[in-house]
Parts: sequence; structure tokens; C-alpha cells
Amino acid sequence: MTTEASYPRVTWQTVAREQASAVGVSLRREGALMLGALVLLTVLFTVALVRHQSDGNGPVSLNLDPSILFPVVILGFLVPLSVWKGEDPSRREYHWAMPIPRSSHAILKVIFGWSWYMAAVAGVLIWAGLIAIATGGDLGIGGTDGVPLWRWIVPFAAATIAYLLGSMVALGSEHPWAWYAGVVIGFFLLAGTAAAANLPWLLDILGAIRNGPFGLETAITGEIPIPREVTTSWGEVRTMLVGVPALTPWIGAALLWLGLAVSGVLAIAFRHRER
Amino acid sequence: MSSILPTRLGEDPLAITTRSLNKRYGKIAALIDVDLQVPEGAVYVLVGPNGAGKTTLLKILLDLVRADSGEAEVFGLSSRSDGPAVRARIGYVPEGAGWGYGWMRVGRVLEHHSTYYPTWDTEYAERLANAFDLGMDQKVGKLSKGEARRVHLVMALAHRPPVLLLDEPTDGLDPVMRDETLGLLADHLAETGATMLISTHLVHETERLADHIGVIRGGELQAQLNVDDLRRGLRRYRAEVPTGWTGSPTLNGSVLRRQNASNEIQWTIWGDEGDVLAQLKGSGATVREAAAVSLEDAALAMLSRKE
Repeated sequence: MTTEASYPRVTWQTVAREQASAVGVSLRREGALMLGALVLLTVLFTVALVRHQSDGNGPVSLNLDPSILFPVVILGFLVPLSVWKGEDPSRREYHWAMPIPRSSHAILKVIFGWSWYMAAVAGVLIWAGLIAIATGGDLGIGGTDGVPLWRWIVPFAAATIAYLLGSMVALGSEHPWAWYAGVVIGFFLLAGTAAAANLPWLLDILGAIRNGPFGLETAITGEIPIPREVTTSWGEVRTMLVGVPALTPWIGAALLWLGLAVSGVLAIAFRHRER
Repeated sequence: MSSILPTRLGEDPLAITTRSLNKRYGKIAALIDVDLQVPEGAVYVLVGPNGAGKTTLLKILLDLVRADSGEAEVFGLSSRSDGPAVRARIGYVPEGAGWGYGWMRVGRVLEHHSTYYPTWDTEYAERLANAFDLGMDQKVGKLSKGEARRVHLVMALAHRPPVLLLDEPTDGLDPVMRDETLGLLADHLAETGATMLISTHLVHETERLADHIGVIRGGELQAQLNVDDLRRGLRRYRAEVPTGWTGSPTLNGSVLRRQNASNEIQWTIWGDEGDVLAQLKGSGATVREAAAVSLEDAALAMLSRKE
């Protein structure tokens, strides 16, 4: 009989190395697509700039701004679907059958998916920085006129929140797309119902979830909506909600959503633990 | 159903044990009080029709399915609470093709699998891959059922586990590859002395390997015994009977299968051959033949027994 002590078991270090590599392979196609998109954008920028100058206009410089990363942050909701592709809960037996604790194994995979995704976010940032340098634009780092340093952390934190929320769906649901569609449609249906039925308390709740001081939008953009008087292009002065960067509310919102997302991922991963 | 057939093995040390295992899927009982006993080093063939509970039983041993009640152990380790340690000792061939990552190539999935098993024998894996004629550059998700099964067999065998759980291991393989697979399993046994639990409904294929058999039907383990005991205890009797013969009432409970052919009747009966012959003769039947049955016929007789 083979005893517990005598039987060789894989080390976490080996599993981590393999997971990093395997998750990287699973994201290779998406990585290639992103690289292709950046190349295409670079070509389009170049053509537009050359045309602009050949039309007798002066040079154009593109400044680096954290908001450039917003589309990549939104992709964070979808990246976990690629990390767990072909492995919705009912088809995850291969993963569960590995000779290591399942919950930690699942969390490890989430972590390596996150690492690759963060590398991609950084890659896009570097690309945008190179475009700014090439066009003589402002890198916007520090200084009294530049973007405050904390605002460069916002896209990475936002991407992490999006990725972890997406991981909850990918880990826990057989039908992630139905969840995404359900949440968006449900939100707008509730908002529409609240407006039609004159339910201000429900509108307040939905508003707080979306862009309140602790809302998801605040956590993802680092801005809070402030009512400002804005002059429209046709000269009318209107009061509108304008996003204004605000460090303290962002920290609160980011910590809240990070906490919720981390707790959700842990709760779902530990559903299948050995007991 | 109370069984006249043995459902408990002797005192041999056991590699796999389950105690009063129960599992329901909604209103359907998949397993009912199953006490599986697989001795160390045995090749135990678990026979049953589709939906009998074989796959569920194997998955409970890997903790891929959780039993509603009861215990499952491999080498004394609980499948539930010592899952990683249990799974480290098991090579598993699943019933379906969806095993491994469909988007990986065969070579990469074998490499991936190997990292989880420090006992992985690269040379042996290459030997198996050659024997199974695996194309390493094919995507796992694009493999046919037979090709996928061959990959699964390499994954299960190449880390030389002390326990193999094989769920319909030859399903989808062509006759030549089936023969090759059974030969490789025999070699594996000879080299490692592993314990093998094979779930199948194609008993004849495993006849040359099997030394224990378990019969499961409707979630109940109706028999489990050593194949030698089975061959001794279960015999086919062919006899001529007089017109209006009403049978031997004392034998009825032991008859597993009865077939009529002109004025002859053929029974498959569990019990001591001398006693059975005496009872048949005593009832007026003229016994023409008493013969051993093949494992497949034995399984068929046990499975077709009416309650």
C-alpha cells in the first residue's frame, strides 16, 4: 500500500509555473488580436497625421492620458472567459481532477489570467506613450500641469475590478453571456420602471450603484459626477453632470468593488473545496 | 433485491473501498448502498448496462461527483477530504471525450498533464504515444472519439499510478487499436502491479485481464466476486426434461438465466455443481452437460436475472 508520506506530490511552484504558461497559451489568440489592433491603430494614426500635415496644417501632437486605457479596462470583463475557455463549471472535470486542492488551483489560474491581462494593459500604456513621444505630445506624468500619479493607477485598479467581476461570472456560471446581458438589461429595465412609476428611491439606489461615491463608474474612472454649467454648441447654458477626478471617493469605491469582487471569486472558488 | 451471489470479498487488503454509498440525481437513484471492494493489485471489471451507476461511482472516487451519503476511500484515504492525495494516485480515463483542454495541441496537453505528476515517465509516455500513433500537433478539441481516448490512456498510464480508473477504455477504438490497448494495459499491469477498476459493458474485451467482477444494475451492486470463484460457482447446465416437467423448486432461487431449445433446457445456475446436478436429476431432468461459462456469459446471466 502506498502511504501518504511516501507518494510524490507536485509542488505549488511547479503548478504555478505551468499555470502561468498554460494561461498564456490560452490567451495567445486574444493577445495576437490585440497586437493586430495596435498595429492597425498605429498605421491609421500615421496615415491621418501625414495627411493632416500634407494638407498644409501644422504638426499634431497626441498627449498621453489614462482615459486611453478605458477600452482595455472594459475588456477585463471578457478576459476571464478566455482564461476559462471550454471550462464552464459542468466541463471543468479535468481541472478538478488534478492532484492538488481545487480551490487554490482555481485561484492560481485567476491570478495568472490577471497577470497576463495586467501585462496587456501595461503594453497598451507603453504603446500610447510611444505614440505620444513620436508625435511630440505630453506624457502627462507628474508635475503641476500633468496628470496626478494616482490617476495612472486607476486604469490598473479598474482593470483588476473588471477582471475579477468577470472571473466571478466565468467561474460560477454555465452561461456567462446570459449573466452579462441579464445584468445590463435588468439594470436598464429597473431604471426605466423606476422612472415610469416615479420611484425616486429606486432611481437613487441604481444611481448610487452606477456613479455614486461608491459606484462602479467611480471605481473604474476615478471621477465623480459634479453638476456644472455647460454652454452647448448652440449657446444654451445647461447644468450637466461632468466627471471630475477625485482621489478620496475613488479610493473608497475602488476598495469596495475590489473587496466585493475578491470575496465573490473566493466564495465561488471555495464551493468545490475538499472537505 | 437480496442477492444469492456474493457481494463481499474476502480479507485481502483493499485498494478501493466504498461503504453504503448513495447518490441521487433528483428522483433517480444513481447509487444505492454500494459497498465496492477492489483488492490491491486486482483487475476489477465493473459491469452494468448504460445508466447503471458505473460512471457515477468512478467519479465519486475522484470526488468529481459528491455522494449524498456513504464513504469512498482509495488506499485508506478519503476521496472527499484527501482528494488531492487520492487523485495523485489515480490514472483516470473518462467516459466522454471532453478531457484536457480542447484548444491545446496533443503534445502540449501531455506536457501540461505531466507537470502535475512527479512520477511521470517521459520515455514511457513517448512509447505509449508511438504505440497509439498519436499526432502531437493535432488540437485536442478536433480529435475523434477514438483519438481522444488514446490521448486519455497516455495521460492515465504515463505517470504509472498505483490505481487506474478506466471508464469504457476501449470505447470508440477500432479493433486493432482495441487489441493494442488491452495489450498495453496487460503490460502496464505486469510492470507496475497497479490496481485497475474498469467500467464497461463490453465484458468480453476485458476477459483476459479481469480477476474480479462486480455487477451493478439500477444503482445496486448485485454481485462482486473473484473470477475464479465465479467460474467455480456459476455453471451452465444443459438437460433434457420429460414432457410436463415442472422444474426443481429448490433450485429456482439460484437460477440466473434459463433458455429453452427444443426438448432441452439450458440454465445458468449459481451453486455447488454436485448439489445442482443432484437436484436436477432428482427432479427428473437428464443432465447432458455442465460447463463453465465465459465472463461475458456470466455477466449476461447475472444482469438478466429477474427479481
